[in-house]
Amino acid sequence: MTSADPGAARGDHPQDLSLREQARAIAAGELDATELLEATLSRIGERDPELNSIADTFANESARMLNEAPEGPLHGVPVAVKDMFALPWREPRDGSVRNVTGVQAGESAVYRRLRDAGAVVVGVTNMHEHGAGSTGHISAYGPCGNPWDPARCGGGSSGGSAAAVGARLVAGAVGTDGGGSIRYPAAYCGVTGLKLTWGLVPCDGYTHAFSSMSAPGPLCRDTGDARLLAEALVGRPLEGHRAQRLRLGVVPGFWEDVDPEIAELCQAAVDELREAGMAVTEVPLEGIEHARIATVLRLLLEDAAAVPPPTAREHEPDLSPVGRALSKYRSLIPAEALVRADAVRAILRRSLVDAGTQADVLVWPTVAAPAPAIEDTTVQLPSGPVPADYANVRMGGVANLTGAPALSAPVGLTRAGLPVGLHLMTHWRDPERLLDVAELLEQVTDRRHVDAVPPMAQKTPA
Amino acid sequence: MEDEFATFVRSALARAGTEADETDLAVIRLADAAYGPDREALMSADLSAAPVEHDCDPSRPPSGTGRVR
Repeated sequence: MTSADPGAARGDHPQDLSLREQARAIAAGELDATELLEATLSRIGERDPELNSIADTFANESARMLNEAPEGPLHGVPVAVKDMFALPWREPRDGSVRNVTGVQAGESAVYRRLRDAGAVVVGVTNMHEHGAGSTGHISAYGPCGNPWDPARCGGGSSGGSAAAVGARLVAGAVGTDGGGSIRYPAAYCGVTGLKLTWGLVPCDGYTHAFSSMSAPGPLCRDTGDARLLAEALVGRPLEGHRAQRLRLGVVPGFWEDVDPEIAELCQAAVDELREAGMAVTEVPLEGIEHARIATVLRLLLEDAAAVPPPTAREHEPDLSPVGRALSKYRSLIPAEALVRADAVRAILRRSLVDAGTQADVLVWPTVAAPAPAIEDTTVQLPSGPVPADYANVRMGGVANLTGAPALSAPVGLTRAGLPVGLHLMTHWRDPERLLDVAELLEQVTDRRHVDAVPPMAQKTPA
Repeated sequence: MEDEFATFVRSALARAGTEADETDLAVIRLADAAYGPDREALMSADLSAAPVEHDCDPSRPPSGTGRVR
């Protein structure tokens, strides 16, 4: 059973509050931050065994962080971070036995930004091994489930961050997105995920700092929380404006070969935005027919180049069988393919600039099919069955190739009760626009999509 | 007897200083079945009109395009 009743998850537990409600209540003296931290750890212990979204907790270090937390917009609020960021007490492992990019324990930029905002890192989230997948079912910590159906994938590579937020273990988590890795799990788990503009957050202490594709960002239940956590990450306000003044561009190529239920729900969201006052027009993007392979080539070869071959070979026994084979597959790719991928990248970047003359925000479904089963990650498209990764990267890679910000917002559930996400992308300098449009969507839908509660989050402990 | 693809994979990986077991071969075969046609299409595409961007900075629009709206 699913619920669109925002009250369904509002028990007495403080993790049923939003991120900004937690921050406000702590600041007002209505919520004790120590009790919140303890309640959060308890909820993770009770609820997460079914999901496996949290790879690690460290109660002592979190308590120390709380004791030393400065006043700030997230003072005393627990958040989780993906297993790609160095913490002073923990080396990131990249969803593997160890990371191979040499990042040691220490203060990553993401840690510093959270700490300076007063937040408390309460856990490290599960992720797809080395970030190399959109499903999250391959990880040294075991597969990450989906709060809407734990037998299905939470997504990847930031699946743990999305699943933990969806299951109300934490109200906010940080993910990273090199080829859609925030947006796919956000869509799968029914949460809001924002990939920030490349370079907007410093990348020191990040295992994929070498990447020209990857950027961090927040995963939260709604836009208000995503804005708050994003502001902490970028270190400046992301002012809200009326979205009705913006023009929405529907990119026709990305609406083809999409599960009909997903297309229907995403189209309904676009219609609601039009009725709310946004101008809607069709805006083609040149180069999207090669976006999938250009994304895959860039990701595979940047990963390969980041680690010296002897180190990579030494790491092979640590990898999953699929991860090991894919690391070898990289060396079979001809070098000229990367040059051609970069030509596609240049076409797409120029095309995004051109699209800006017709629309402020571009829109399409985040994923072409709902979350697949952990046991079989094949998805069914109108054209036939394909691996989920293959279907997903077609939709998300453009934002990584261009470097532009992009967001996935929940827009409803399939008849099987699985979430669907709407993808928004905009100009490099305006991530605020995405939040503004997603916020408008929440308003015109009476928050019924962002407040929908997964069945496992409606259970009360015995 | 191995097919042409398996022979290619094994010899290419040997040149790179590693080898492929049967699991590697099966996964690589699946990956190439999925992405190989797209890669071939990219390799044969006419990209001569692609803009030249020697200074690609993903944090901003291509240089010279300025701010739109």
